[in-house]
Amino acid sequence: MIIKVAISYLMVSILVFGCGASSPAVRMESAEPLRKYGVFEVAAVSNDTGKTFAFDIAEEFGNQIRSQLESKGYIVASGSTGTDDALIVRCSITSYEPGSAFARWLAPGAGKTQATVLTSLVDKRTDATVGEMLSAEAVGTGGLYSAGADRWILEKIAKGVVDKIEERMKK
Amino acid sequence: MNRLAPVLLAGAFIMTAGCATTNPPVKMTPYLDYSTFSATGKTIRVAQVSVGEVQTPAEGLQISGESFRNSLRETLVKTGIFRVLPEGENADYECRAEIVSQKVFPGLTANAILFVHYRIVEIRTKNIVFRSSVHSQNDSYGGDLTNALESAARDNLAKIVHQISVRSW
Repeated sequence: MIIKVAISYLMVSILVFGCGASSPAVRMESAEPLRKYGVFEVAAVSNDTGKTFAFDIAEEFGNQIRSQLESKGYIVASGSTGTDDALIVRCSITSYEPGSAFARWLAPGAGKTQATVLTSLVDKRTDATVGEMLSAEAVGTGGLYSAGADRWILEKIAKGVVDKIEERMKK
Repeated sequence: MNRLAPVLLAGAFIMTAGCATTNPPVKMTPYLDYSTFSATGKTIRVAQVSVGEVQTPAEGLQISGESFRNSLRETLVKTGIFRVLPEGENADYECRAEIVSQKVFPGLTANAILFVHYRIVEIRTKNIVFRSSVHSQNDSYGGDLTNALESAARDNLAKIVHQISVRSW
């Protein structure tokens, strides 16, 4: 009976803490919608963690942002375009821990995967920051079911960022 | 098998809540060498602090606008960069802070992340003369959530007073 309770608790914990999507915290300079921007430019993502990892997290995250924007039908310029009518998406990964699904399985609470990304939305014409987002995600549970979290945590954050941009485009 | 049950339960609890201490954060004034700051001779007052998104595992575990404002005031007083005046008094500047978000991830290593936007307005002209968004993050081993959030707040305030100190006023 107690075993069942413990397992149920674990499953609920995984659902609540492991898989829940958390959207970024957003601060916009004004309530003005972003729909005036016809094109996006994704600046090279900076890895400000001071560490290198098994794969290039900055490149991976930049690709995710580009791909998420394109999947929603937005035009993403390749490189810096001639048009000033662009919104530059500038991201910086300030913290990243790949964690370990094995460690999470072995010892509850250990091996947490964690990432924090700061995104600035910059008006190309004026070079003014029109908004900022802070995304922080962690995967602390899920055991072996959470294998691959070191990559999909970045995808999840990129999706959250692009969802917020889309929200502001429609407002 | 049943002997394992308490271990599993304890493990599951630690995993989700850490060895959680969830008292409201109070020790938020950074531990700095305050003698290194120079006075500008200008005065400042600190406006009320607004609080945005809160994502913490316990209701009591959050930085209130008032407590953050008190810590910001205390930090500015300690630096001596400005003479800090009470609310309502005529000062050269007003410091406005907004806690955009505060998040705490429990676990054996608790992570606290604090995102604050600061503006300093010149009262005479109403111009924003300084703005900065500062985020700070702290990992606290052992799941001390309060300590993780307090440390994040101290880092945040340390960063902002450093930025203020290197600007000419």
